[in-house]
Amino acid sequence: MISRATPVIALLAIALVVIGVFVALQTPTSAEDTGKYLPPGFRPDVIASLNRVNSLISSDSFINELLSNSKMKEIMSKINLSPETVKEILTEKPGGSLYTMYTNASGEPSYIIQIAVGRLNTKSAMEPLSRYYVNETKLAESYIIYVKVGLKGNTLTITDLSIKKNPLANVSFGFVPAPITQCRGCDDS
Amino acid sequence: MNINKEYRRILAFQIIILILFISTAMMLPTESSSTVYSQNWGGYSVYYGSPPSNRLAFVSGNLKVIDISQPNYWDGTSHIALAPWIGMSLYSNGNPYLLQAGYNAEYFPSNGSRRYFIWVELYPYPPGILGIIDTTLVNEIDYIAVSLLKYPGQSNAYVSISIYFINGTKRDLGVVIVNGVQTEFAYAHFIVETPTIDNIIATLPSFHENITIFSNVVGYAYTNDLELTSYNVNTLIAGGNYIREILAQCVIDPDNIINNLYIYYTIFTGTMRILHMRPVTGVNEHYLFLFNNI
Repeated sequence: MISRATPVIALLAIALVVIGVFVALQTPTSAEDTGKYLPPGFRPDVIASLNRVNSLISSDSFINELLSNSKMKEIMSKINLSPETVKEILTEKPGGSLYTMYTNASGEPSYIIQIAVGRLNTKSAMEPLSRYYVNETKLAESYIIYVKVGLKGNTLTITDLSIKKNPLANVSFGFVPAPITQCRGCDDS
Repeated sequence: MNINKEYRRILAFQIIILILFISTAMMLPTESSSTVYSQNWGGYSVYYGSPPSNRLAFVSGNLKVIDISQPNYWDGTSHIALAPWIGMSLYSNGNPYLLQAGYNAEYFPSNGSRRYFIWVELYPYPPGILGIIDTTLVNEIDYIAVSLLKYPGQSNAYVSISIYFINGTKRDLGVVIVNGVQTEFAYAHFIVETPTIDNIIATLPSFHENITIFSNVVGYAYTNDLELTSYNVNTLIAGGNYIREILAQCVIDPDNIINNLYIYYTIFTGTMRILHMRPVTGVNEHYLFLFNNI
């Protein structure tokens, strides 16, 4: 004999199942999902060593080594780049002027420090590239100095140094809005 | 008495129906979209939530490398360029802060040459170069895998670039620290762009076939200050704590390059949305791009 309450209980059971499924879908489904997670493309040892290099380039010992490097002296003289500007970039680490990169593209792991500078006219001194916001002005010249370093313990050793013109000196990837009057009739159907 | 029993049965039934309805509604991805018009961006962005309670931590995706050629339409003065990229951003006090990484393809009609740079930009600062793609390799590349990572509270971010070749080999270009990131992020972006070069928006190149630009696009966010948590795609909730995984295609239609440029993207539920790109009629004749918040 079926009780009059049976349909209600059955419906309640179905509701509970649905709620259970819903809750299960909102919560991690396995232990792997809940643990600390480093996304694809990143290795803990690479991140750790990069952080160490990025920190060590601000040290007095590295800055002195770089500024006393004969090739660096030659470059600085050639493009009118002051030691103070180099020091400012390495210590203050402004966005757009300094990148610290780990690479093993050539088969050997190495670290490359990129120092980006620019100037509005060819007679003025080089400034950190970060000083020139994109879309704000047009640079006469911009260069990237590539400093290749090796890391041993807490010591950085300069292994190579070069300079190249910055081919993206006056390039911006920023959003340019469309004038409102030109959007009449536009849709995203 | 019977009426009371009947009433209670009806009430219980109604409650159950209500529970079922609410449960079903909550399982469906909520979707609100707004369209923003741009002269040089096409694609989509995903709003994750406002920091500091919500912080977008990681976005990645694969970028198809396009063999660009001369455009169907070109004013003869601007550069011809195309830059697909992946990014994270936040608008704070009206100012945009945007971390983006991708590649820039340029074509020079005067001598028929091309050049490809892999770049990173922390807008509003100028971009930096992470690598150069040898043009002889362009047709051998399957895609470039780009990943952006930002830990909350830190003033730097990380960008990883790997190149995958059609023959199955892979080359890790490297991982770079982007210094000076003074914000947390709320938006994930997947954009195809004509960059601004010498203060002029570049001209879009044309293509000889439909091209899928983005694939395997994914984003994750922090659940607390310490851990970045991976979730199954089906557990990600629109408007909830986790950004949804999105599979995306950006298809440029070569036959309608003047009149329309299409970007297709697929939400994980299988819904296909199409963004139409229309030319701006006016002084500069540049294309009008749309982008949607999902």
